[in-house]
Amino acid sequence: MKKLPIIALICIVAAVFIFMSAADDMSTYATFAEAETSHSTVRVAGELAKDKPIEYNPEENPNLFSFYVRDADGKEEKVVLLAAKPQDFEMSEQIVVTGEMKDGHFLANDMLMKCPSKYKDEEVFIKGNS
Amino acid sequence: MNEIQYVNEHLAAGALGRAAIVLAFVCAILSLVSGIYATQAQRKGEADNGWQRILGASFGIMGFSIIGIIVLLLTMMTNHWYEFQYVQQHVSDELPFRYVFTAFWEGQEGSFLLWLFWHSVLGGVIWFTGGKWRAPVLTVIASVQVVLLSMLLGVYLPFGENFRLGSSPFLLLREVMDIPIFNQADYVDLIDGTGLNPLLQNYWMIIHPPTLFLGFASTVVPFAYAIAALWIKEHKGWLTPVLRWSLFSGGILGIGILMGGAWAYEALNFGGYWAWDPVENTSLVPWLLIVAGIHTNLVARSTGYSIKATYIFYLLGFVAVLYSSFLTRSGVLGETSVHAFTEMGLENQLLFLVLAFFFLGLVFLAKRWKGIPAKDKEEAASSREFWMFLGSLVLLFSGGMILTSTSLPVFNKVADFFELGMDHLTINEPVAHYNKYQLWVGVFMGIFTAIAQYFRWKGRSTNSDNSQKLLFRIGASVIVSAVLAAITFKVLATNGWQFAVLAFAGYFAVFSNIDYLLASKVAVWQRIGSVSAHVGFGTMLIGILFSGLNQHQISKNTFAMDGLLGEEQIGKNVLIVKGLPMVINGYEVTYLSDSLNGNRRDYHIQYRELSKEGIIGNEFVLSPYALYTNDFAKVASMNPDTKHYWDHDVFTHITGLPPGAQSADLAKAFEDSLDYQRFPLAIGESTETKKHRLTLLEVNEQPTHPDYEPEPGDLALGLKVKLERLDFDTVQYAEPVVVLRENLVYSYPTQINPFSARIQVPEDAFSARFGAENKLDYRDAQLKPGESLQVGEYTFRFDEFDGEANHPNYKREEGDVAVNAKLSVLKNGAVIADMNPLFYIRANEPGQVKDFNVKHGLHARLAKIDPSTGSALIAVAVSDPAENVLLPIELAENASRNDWVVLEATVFPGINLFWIGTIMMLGGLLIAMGFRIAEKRKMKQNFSVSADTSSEVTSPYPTTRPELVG
Repeated sequence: MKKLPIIALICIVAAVFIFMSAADDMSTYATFAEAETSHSTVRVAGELAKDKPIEYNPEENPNLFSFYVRDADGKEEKVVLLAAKPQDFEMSEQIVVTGEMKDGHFLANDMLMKCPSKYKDEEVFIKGNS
Repeated sequence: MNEIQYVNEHLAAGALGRAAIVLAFVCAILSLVSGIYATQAQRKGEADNGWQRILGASFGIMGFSIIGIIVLLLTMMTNHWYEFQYVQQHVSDELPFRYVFTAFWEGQEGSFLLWLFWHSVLGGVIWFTGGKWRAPVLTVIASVQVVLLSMLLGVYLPFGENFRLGSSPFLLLREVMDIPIFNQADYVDLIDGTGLNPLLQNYWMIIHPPTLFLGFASTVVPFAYAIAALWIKEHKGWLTPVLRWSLFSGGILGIGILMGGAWAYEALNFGGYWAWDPVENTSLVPWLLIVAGIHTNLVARSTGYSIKATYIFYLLGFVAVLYSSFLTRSGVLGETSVHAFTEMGLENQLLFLVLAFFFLGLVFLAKRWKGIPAKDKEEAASSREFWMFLGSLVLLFSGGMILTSTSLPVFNKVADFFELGMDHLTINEPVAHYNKYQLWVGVFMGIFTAIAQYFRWKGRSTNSDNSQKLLFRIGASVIVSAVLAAITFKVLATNGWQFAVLAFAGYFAVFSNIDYLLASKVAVWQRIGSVSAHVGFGTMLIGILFSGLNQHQISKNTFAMDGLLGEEQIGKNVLIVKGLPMVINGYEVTYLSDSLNGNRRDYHIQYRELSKEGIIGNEFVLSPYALYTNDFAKVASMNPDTKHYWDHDVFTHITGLPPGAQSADLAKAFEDSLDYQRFPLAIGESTETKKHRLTLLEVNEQPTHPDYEPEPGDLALGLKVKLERLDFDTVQYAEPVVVLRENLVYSYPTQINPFSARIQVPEDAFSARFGAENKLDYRDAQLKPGESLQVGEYTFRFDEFDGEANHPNYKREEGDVAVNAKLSVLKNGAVIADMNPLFYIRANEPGQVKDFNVKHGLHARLAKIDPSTGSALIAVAVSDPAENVLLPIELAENASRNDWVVLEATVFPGINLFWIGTIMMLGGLLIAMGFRIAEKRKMKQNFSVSADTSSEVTSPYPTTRPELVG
C-alpha cells in the first residue's frame, strides 16, 4: 500500500474542505440595505456622518456608543457599538463595522477605523511654538 | 529659492551619506559579479584568478559602508540636524536619548538599513566560517543586497514619468517640502523635529526591531545555501552547514516575533499577545516555513528523504520574508491593519524584490529538479521521518492558510488591476477565523511531535526497545495526557470539544518528549534542544488555551444590561468615580488618584480581591496611563498596566476619560459649554443661586492649586470659597486661582464634582483687588524728609531715603541707580502702615515701582528725586480697603463631573505557561544550534582537516548515525 498517494489525497481533500469552509468566513463589504435583508453578521464599510450626533455617555452606560455611518450607496444608518468610544474617533476617515441590523439600527460588535496617518503629519514644528 | 544662501546646514554630511550609499551599491554589484565568477571557477575546478579576493573585499567594503551610513544617520539624529527630512520626522528636541535608536528604525529607510546591516554581518560570518560554501552563498546574499540598497538610492531614472529608484534617507527637508520658512536663510535654527510616535516610546521598541530584523535577515542564509547547493549540485553536502543557520534563524525570528507580542501585551491596549494582525501574520509565516525546513532538513540529513522538501521550505521561507516586507511597507494592507504605515512610493520596487527572488528560486529548482537525489522506497509509517514529514506538511498548510487570508487585500487589488469587476472580499471576524483553523494545526503538530519521538530513523528498533515496552510507554503518556485534558476541559468550562482535543495534543507533546528524554541512551545534553523545543510547544498550547479561553473581564458590568442583550454583548467597560470603591466580579476596584508624569497621566487603580464571604485577599494598585502626544494636544494612546501572579495576570487599561483629560479641543469645548454666573462678593459675604449658597471666605496671594506651579514674578490670586447645597446639608470648599505671568492671564478653575459645579476667578479680579490704576485719583507733593501729605483721613509722612532699595517687584540689574522713599501712613495720629515706593534709573531711563497696601487701599509712588534740594516728588492715592472690595467669582452649575475613568480589566489565567512555553521552544532551537556548532568544532579536530574546512561539506557523518535533534 502506497502511503504517499493517500497522504496527497488527504491533503487535497483537506485543502478543498478548508477552502470551502473558509469561504463562509469571507464576504464582500455589505451595504446597509443588504444588511437589512441578510439577518446575519456582515461588514459594512463607510464613512462617519460627521453632521449627525455622536453619542457616548459613560456616566449612563460606558458600553454604549452610537453614531451614524454613510455607506457606499450614501445611505446613512445609526450604528450602535457596545463598547467604549475609541480614541480619535472623530478624526476617522473610513469606518468598517461588523454586526447586523437589529431594531432599526446596526448593532456592531467590532469596528475598525482608519485615521489619516496619525503621527506623520506633514508639519514642521517651529521651535518654541510646540 | 536658489538664491538664498542657507546657513548652518550640514550639506557635507548629506553628500557623504549619499556617496556611501552609492559606494555600497556599487560594491554589492561587484560582489555579485565576482561571486559568480568565483563560484563558476570553483565548480569547474579552474584557477580562481583572484575572484574570491575581490568578492571578499567588495563585500567587506559594502558592509563597512552600510555601517558608516548608519553611524552618520545616527549622528545626524543625535545632533538634531533637522534640515534632513529623516531627522526632522523621527526625532525632536525633547526625545530622550535612549529612543534615538528606536526613532532610527521607526522609518522605512532606517529599517532597510538595519536589514542591510544584519545581512552584511551574517555574510561576514559566512566569509570566515563557510569554507567552500562562502563564494556561492555570498553571491546570493550580494544579489539581495543589490536590490535592497537600490531602495535607498533615491535617484530619478529618465524612463517613464520620472521613475524614482529608492528613497534616500539623506534628503533635505527643503527638497521635499515647499513652505515659507525656507525663505529664511537661518531656517535650520528655527525648526524642531516631529519626534517619535509616542506609542513606540517603550523599552520593547529598543530591542524588538533589531531582533526581529536579525530574524528576518537570517532567513537569507538558508535561502542562499539552497540556491548555492542547487547551483553547484551539492544536494547533500549543504544539509549539515545550513542546519545550524536555520536553527539560528528559527530561534531569533521566533524571539523577535515573541518580543512583538510582549510589547503588544505590555504596552498596547488590545488586550493580548496576539491579534492575528496582518503584520504579525506575515512575520509568523516565514517562521513556520523555516521550522518546517529544519524538520525536513533533519530527515534529509539522517535518511536521504525529503531533500526536495527542504529546498522548497528554505526557498519559500525567505520569499515569505520578502512578501511580508512588501505587504507591510507598500500600504496595500491599509484597509485591514491597525498598523499605520506610511507609503514610501516603492511599491513597484518591493514587488520586484519579491518576484525576482521567488523566480530565482523557482528557476534553480526547476533546472536541477531531476538531479536531486530521492529515495525510491517510501518512508515506513513506523519511522520518525514519516511523522516529521507529515508535521512539516501541516506547518506548510498552516502558513498557506494564514498567508491566503492575510493576502485578501492583495487579491482585491489584483482584481481591481485587471478590472475583473469583483467586489472586495473581507474576513468578517478575523480572529475567530484564524483561531478556528490554526487550532487544528496545533492539534496535529502536538500529536505528531509526540509520535515522532517514539520512533527511530528508518523505523529501526534497538534491542532495548521491544515493542511491548514501547506500547506501554505510549499508553502511559496517552492516559496521563487524556486525564489532564479532561481536567483542563472541566476547568475551562467551555463547550467546544475541540479544545479538549487541543489540550490533549499539548499534554501529549509534553509527556512524550519528557519520556523521550528520560529513555535517552545518549547523553542528555544532545537531546535537550529538541526536547525543550517540543515540550515548550506543548506548554505553549496549554497556555494559549488557558489565557485565551478562560480570560474573563473583571470590569464586566453584568447587572446593568441583564436581559437586554446576549451574553457576549455585555460590555467590557465600567465607569468608576474617584474615591468611590466599586465591587465587581469578585474585586473591589477603587480609582485612587491620578498624577501627571512627563507627557503621561497615570491613573492609580486599586484592586482588592474579595472572596465569596467578602474577605479581602490580594490587594494591589495598577497604574494604566494616558500618553499624550508630544505637543500635549491630545491623548495619543491609553497604555495598560498589568499585575503578574504566577498563575494569572490582571490586565487593565483606560477606555474612556472625561473630555477635559482627552484633548485640548474637547477640554475647550467643555469649558465653552459651561454656563458661568458672575457674583461680585466681599470677603465673608454670601450669595445664593437656586441650588447653592456661595461664600467668599478669604483671599490668598500665595495660593496653591494642583495644576499651578508658582514661578518668581507671578502675581497670583486664590479665592477661597465655600459652596453649600441648599437641598442637602453638604458643604464643599474650593480655591480657584488666577495668575498673571508676563502679561498673560492663566486661570485655574476648581471643579466641585459632587455638585457638578465649577468655580473660576475672572481676570478682572486683579483690578478689583489691586485697584485699577486708571481709576485712582493721585495727589502729589514735593516733600523733604519729615514733611507730610494729607489725603482724606490719611497722613503720608516722608521719613527718609533708603539706598538699600528693596521692593518685592523690583529686580536689580547691573548699572541700576535705585532708591526707596520710606513713608509712614498715619490715621488718627497712629501709624497704620509703612510704605516703600521705589525710583530707579536704568540705562539713563527713569522708572518707578509703586507700593500698595491692600488692607487699607493705599497707593504710593516715588515719581521724581531732586538731589539739589534733597526732596522727592511723592504721589499717593487711596482706594477702598480690602474688606470692602467686591471680588468677582464665577460659578457654573452645569459642569458634569470629571473625576471618573472608564476602564477595562481582564484576568489572563495561565498566561505564564504561554511565555514559558514559547521561551522553551525558541531556546530549544538555539540550544540545538549551539550543539551543532560544538559538534562541527569537534569534527574539525577529529578529522584534523586541511585549512579550507571543506571536509564538513562532504558530510563525514554516516547516514545512519543516531539522531541528536529530532
